[in-house]
Order: sequence, then structure tokens, then C-alpha cells
Amino acid sequence: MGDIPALPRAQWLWTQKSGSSEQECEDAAYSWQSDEAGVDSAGRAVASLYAAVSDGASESLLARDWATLLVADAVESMRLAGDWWEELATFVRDLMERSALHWDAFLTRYQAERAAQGRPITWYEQPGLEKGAFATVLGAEIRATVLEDGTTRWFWYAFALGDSCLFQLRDGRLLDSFPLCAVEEFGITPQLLGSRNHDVRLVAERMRVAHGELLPGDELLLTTDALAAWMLSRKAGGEAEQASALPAFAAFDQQDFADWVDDQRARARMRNDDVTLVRARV
Amino acid sequence: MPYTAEISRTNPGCFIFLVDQSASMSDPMESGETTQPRAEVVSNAINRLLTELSVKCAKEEGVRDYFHVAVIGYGHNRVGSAYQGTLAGRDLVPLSEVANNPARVESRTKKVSDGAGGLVETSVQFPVWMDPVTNGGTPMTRALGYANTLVGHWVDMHPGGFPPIVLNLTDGESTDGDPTSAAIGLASHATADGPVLLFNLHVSGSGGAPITFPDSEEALPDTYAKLLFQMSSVLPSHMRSYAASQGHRVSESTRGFVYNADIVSIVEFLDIGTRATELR
Repeated sequence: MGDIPALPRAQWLWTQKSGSSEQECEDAAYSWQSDEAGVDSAGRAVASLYAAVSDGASESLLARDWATLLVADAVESMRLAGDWWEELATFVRDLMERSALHWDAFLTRYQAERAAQGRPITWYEQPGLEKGAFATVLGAEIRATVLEDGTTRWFWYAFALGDSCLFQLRDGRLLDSFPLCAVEEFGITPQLLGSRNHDVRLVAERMRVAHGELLPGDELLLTTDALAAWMLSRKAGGEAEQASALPAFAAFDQQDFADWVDDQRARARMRNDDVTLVRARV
Repeated sequence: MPYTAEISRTNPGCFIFLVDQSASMSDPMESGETTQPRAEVVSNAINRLLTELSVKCAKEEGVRDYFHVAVIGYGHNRVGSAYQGTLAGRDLVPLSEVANNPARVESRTKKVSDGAGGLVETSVQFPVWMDPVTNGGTPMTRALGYANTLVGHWVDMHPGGFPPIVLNLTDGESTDGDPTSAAIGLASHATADGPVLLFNLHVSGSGGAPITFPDSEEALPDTYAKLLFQMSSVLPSHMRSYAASQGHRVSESTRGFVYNADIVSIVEFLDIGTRATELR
């Protein structure tokens, strides 16, 4: 059995919509990687990096908290299930039960804290709390698998509910996108997971799954919709635009990213929305 | 393209409701299986709309000021704020203040599905900002002039924002002269995003079928209806699309006007006329 190569580090960049404070950003992201190699269902050594992004729906209450909880639970559900894409209904049930449990505990704590602060839930919050919070969720696993001949191959496996997107880049060019392929597919009513939705069958029907192989040097980007639409409009923009280099996200810190997003907004190339990017290069 | 400005806390929207409080507003109209005075139906609809706006803009820290709202009553010898309680006498009020200061919160019963095909009664909280008032004539020209002053200040302060929307709800003809020039004056204010929108609703007196969101005068029964039609702005495209999604037949000339409104079309008028572009 060959050695597992070092896993890539996930880079996380984000910025809130213009006019909002940092605390009001309703996107969330999370990544996790194991320190130790595991074994897949075929008995091969594997190591995985997991990442998820979520875009909380602004018209729901506590969308940021729901998105934050979902990304952690999505990673946990992928991690614990192993080849989670093989039995999607089981994976969806696990994710929904896990997140519902955490959400109930969060809500109980939240309401108690509000009461303790002398700010009990008001009549205008009650309907929103009853309706629940809503968010997209996109989860991905980058897995290194050591084959019998000792070589390592890299694959990605992803699931999506809504319009947060995954992009695979090779030599800086867009190779694959998931679940949306064209900018026209962005609607104003994307699929969302509701904190009070317990209909596992419906969610499993709506959830999309995909996978692909990564070659050394390939990049995987997970983004929420504003940046995803930017990426896809670039793809639709013709040869010149496609050939022009993407920003050097690898060298960006949070401020560089916020400045770049601001510039794109000012040029009317990107919608004013919260923006999140999780990036990894194998 | 006009009427596409983003509505945000730095560039909020502005709603001005003009509510006819003349004596005839005490006449009854059908409300489900019973009848209610028109003024009560209208004030219930406004109170419900303010509730829905507050709920829609509620976030963890409170209600966000995506809108500033005025409710102006016009009736006997008086045109002015119809807010009661803490907000009495105030004109345009930020939505967070509206939400936090209803005159009272009533407990009302509502029938909801029991999940097994039946209905059960449940208690809901119903905030009240205005009560029905009915007295004297219909000084619509003065009311439009009052709105004109509010709108003038607003567009000076928010020159790049979504233009103010004025929604006039009345059951009768103006008793202080032809309101046409006041309406033209009001709609002559504009932001960079377009002229002020004036929508008119005429509450049913006869009980006949309502005429909702017409695009021409042809089907209108009399000169009074035609006058209100002419005073009404064409619906911006996002409201037109929303009206179409609610089952209304619309064209590019569809106006924000409802004639002979019943209780359902009052609610629809307020829902469509206050439909916002995306909130940021």
C-alpha cells in the first residue's frame, strides 16, 4: 500500500453584500480534513478533504445560523458515511436528522438567551420562526485514493441543493461546473433546505450529485451564487473572456477578495450579494 | 431601466397610504358571510399589510428599515396622519418604528387547517396602527397635496432611490375639486429611477364585479372611474409580472387601479402595489 500524499489545504474567502455589516453575512463555509488515512469500501487507502458552502435566504430569520449549522453537518454526514453518494437517501436522512436535532437545540438556546436579555421573541419574529430558516447547501469531498500499483488518483464527489456551485479548473480554465452549467439557470427561487423540512424523500429527489477526477494542479472552487453567476457569465462571454486569467485567488487574503468583489460590483459584473469562495488545489 | 433601483437600508422604499375617512366609508360591504363597514375593511387591510411588511423585514436584530411608511387619513375638515398611539401625528415613519409601536396588539381568532381536512380556530396576534374613522366629505385634492409635500421632501433626500409609491383608497368622488392636477403634480416628482407612482383603489359601493388593473378606459362605467384610471400610474414591470403570477391579465399599459373593489381585491391591490424589487 502506497503512502497517502499530503492533502491540499482549503482556502476560504468571503465578503458580505455592500451595505451590510460583516455580522450580517448569511453565507457560511466549513472544511475539514482527517489527519489519518482511512480505507474505502474496496479496501484501498484513502484520505479526504471535505468542504461545504451554504447561502442563507435573506428573507428568512436566523438564515446565517442555519447556514452555519448546515455546512458543519454536511461535512459530518459525508465524513461518517464513507462512500456517501452510493446511498443518497440514507445520506439525506442522516443530514436532515442531524441538522434538525442541532436546529432544535439552537432554537431553544436562542429563545432562552433572548428572554434572558429582556428581549423575548416579538410578534413580527414569530411567523418567521414558525416558517423556519432556509439555505442552499453544496458539499464536496476531495478524495485521494491509493491504487494497488501504489499510484494515487484524486476524485471529487459533490452534492447540491440550490444554486451554490462547484467549479473544476485546469490550467486556470473552467473544465466542469455543478449543479448549474449556464448563467441562465440562476433563478430567483433556488432550491433551499428549510430548517423545518422533514420530507427526506422530497429532498433526496431534489438533491443533485456529481463526481469527477482531478489531475495534479487542478483546482476546485465552491462558491455561492453571485460568484457562481460571475464564473458562468465569463464562460458565456466568448473566447477572449475565457482565455483571460482568473484572479489569482490563491494569493488573495480577505481584503484582496473584498476589494476584487467590490470592483466587480462597481463594473456591474457581479450582483450585490454575500460572496463566498472555498478553494483547494490538488 | 426605471423602477429597478435596489431597495436597501441606505436607499429605502417609501409607501404613502391615503385613506378616505369620509362618512360614506361607514356603509357596509360584504366580508365573507357577514358585512363590515368599508372603513373597517380598509383599516384591517392596512393593519395587515403593515404586519406583513414588518414580518418580511424582520431579522434577528429587529425590523430593518427597508421602507418608510405614512398612513394619511382624509375626511371631515382633516387631512393628516392616521396612525394612533405613540405614532399619532407622525407622517413617514421608518418601518422598525412602525413595527415597535402599534397602538395595540389584539388577539384575534383565525381558522386554520387541522391537517385532516377540517378547520380549527386558533388565536393570532393582530397589531393595530389605525382604526376606522368616518366623517364628512372626501377632500382628495388636499390629500394628494399632502402626499405631494411628503414626496417632494423624500425625493430630495433620496434622489437615486426607488421612487415613492402612493396608494389612494377611496369610496367616493372628491368633494374639494377635481383632483387631476394634484395627481399630475404628485406624479411629476421623480428620482433617477423614475417618477413617483400613484395607484388608486375605489371601494365597492354597488357590489358588482370589481375591475382590477385595467389597461384601458373602455370597460369603465362612468367618468369618475375614468378620472381615477387617468390618475393612476402604469405598473412597473416587476409588479406587472407579480400581478400576472396572481392570475391577472396584464399588458404594458396595465395601470395600478382597481374599481369597485371587494374585500379580496383590496388585499390584492395592497399586495401588488407594495411589491418590492429585491431587498438588499
